[in-house]
Amino acid sequence: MDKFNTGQQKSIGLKQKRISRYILVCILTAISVVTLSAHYGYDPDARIPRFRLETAEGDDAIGQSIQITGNYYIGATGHFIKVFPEGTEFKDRLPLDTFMQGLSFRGYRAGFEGLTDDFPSFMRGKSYGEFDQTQEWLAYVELSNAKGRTRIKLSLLNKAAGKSTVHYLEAGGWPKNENILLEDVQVEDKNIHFLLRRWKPDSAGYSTNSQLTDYVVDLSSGNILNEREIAIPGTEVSSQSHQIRLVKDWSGDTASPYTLIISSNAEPEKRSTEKLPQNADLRPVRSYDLFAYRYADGKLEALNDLWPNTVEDAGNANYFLNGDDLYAIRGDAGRKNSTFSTFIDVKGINLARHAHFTAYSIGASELGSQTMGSPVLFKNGLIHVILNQDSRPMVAVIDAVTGKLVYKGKVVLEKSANDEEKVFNKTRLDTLEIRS
Amino acid sequence: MSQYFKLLALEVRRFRYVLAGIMVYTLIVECVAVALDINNHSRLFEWNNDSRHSFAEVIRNTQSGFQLAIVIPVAVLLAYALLIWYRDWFGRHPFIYRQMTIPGGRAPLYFSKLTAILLFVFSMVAWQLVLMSVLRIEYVWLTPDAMQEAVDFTEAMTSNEVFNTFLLPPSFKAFALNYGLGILLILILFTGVLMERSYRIMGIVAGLIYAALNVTLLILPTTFGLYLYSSEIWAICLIVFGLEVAAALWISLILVSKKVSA
Repeated sequence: MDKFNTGQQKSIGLKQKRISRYILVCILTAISVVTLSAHYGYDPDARIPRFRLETAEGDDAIGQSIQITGNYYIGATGHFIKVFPEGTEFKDRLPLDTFMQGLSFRGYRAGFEGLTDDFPSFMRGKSYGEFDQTQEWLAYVELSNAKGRTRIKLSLLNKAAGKSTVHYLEAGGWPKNENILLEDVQVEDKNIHFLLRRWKPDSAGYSTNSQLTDYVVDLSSGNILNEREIAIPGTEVSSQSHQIRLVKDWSGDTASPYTLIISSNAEPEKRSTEKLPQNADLRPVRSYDLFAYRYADGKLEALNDLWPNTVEDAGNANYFLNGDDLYAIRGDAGRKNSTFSTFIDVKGINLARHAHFTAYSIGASELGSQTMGSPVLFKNGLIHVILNQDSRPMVAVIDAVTGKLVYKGKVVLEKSANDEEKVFNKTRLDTLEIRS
Repeated sequence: MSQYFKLLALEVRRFRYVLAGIMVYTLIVECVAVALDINNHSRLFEWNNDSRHSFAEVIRNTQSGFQLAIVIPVAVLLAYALLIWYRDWFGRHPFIYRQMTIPGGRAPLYFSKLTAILLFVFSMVAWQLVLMSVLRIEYVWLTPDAMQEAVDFTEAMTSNEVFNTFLLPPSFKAFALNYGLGILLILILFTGVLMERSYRIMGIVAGLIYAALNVTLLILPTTFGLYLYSSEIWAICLIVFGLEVAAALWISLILVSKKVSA
């Protein structure tokens, strides 16, 4: 009996020894599974909050095309977020991201997002050119230097037929010391226009001898019908103090028959130098001349009689074209790229009738905010402005003609947290974008 | 299966003291870093009574301490991913003769070593989470009551860049991606070691070419960024990742079963 008991004890001892062999594996596995599940399973919203753009006032449909982008800060790292009515898109900052982005940089534009959703096969590989669309056509244009020649690659999609074509067009030479820029693409009736600007940089890098050419191309055949040199008064004199810039049409699906050309010239300050020290720095004074270029007949019309030739109006405003209407929107901060304003001035002139049709100011307080972001956006006759009240971003959409508020949306947390204020304090949503 | 568990238990037992050592090392370095920061801030607090110091701020201020606490264990684990094989050949009592002749094939031997390394890695990550609770207790214990500021645990975790970008990223997707790439690295390393053990000098050359090929194939889809949409690049990368994992396992199992000799 004693022998039997000793044998049984020995057997139990061996079994315990065998089990104890696995204890360490079990402990390590259990700790790993339990702690990591608890960490990632418990309240993930506390780490990555989800926002949504909620309609507070006006037409819900307007809000569907709006998105606000910015960063949510986790520690010192900003994580890119996009907030729209459907929710939030959170971009993880991965260790390989920097490397991968460097290799596969794809220029992001909110305007392209809707197009890639609607026409994925047509938009494939199209990310850095210019596009224009009407109800019937979607045109995408890229400019390239092909062995000293300027080559325009025009991709056209007939939306109704779903048929796409590609045309390669020669647009003159591209000398080594010359820069060529595609300033505007505009579908106009049966034609498409490309506005090309050529200039030579001087030793200081300033553009000189700017030349604008309008290439008129037949949409159906893809042949160049006409090449129009646009002679802007002032550009005939080679001068580094002279600059031109163009205002593209962002009106949306409606083709604009015009483009706005702003020609500016810097002249030495005209003031008495008697009381000034000998080497006093006289700042140049920049004057502006505005011209409307009509695509249909290539006519260039001066707008100086309609628009006073002042820095405030011409130099510091954001311009938008909507069909025949031209809007100038200026924030009160006095600088075009200033981050915040307390009100905006809106002026509108009809280019066909050559007459003013609207002028008003809107204060941030009228829209229920302390400040409004800048620059404003414009599409389909609507002015979009981002508002910021106590770190809580809002969007206001104003009818450009009447100045009436047609939509107001506010960014809200999907799941209300106790520390909402803390979440918003870690969030910087300051870039407004309109999806096409 | 029982062979696999036995071998896994053996591998864990062999590394237990080193694992305990790096765990203690992490504990000490992080505790010291936190204590130093609290001490520094306490002096400021004596001078300016308004300056509170939350646990999240302590964790944020001790980035370099956390880096130091993590770099050494990472290096040890990486080195052990090589040593786990070579110690069986070159150890004081070469063990590989016995391991190669275990009944039931050599696959359990390969998987036990792989699982052991992964278990050590995830145990260290879990240990870091446990340590955060320890550090919080240390904070409450060392910080004067008037200087303490209530803050939730998640905020403290997310205030440290070492956690956010590397160890415990905020989203599970990023965690899976980080550690998925880590697992692939271990698999490639194991395949390289088995190539070297199978073909010696030629094996080293083949292993290096194999590793370069894997990295190139994984990165290649990202170079088509202008022609592919990002969702497509992700899908291709995931497929390549899956194929590389499968290939690494397949090559390794062939090598360990048919080519490697004691």
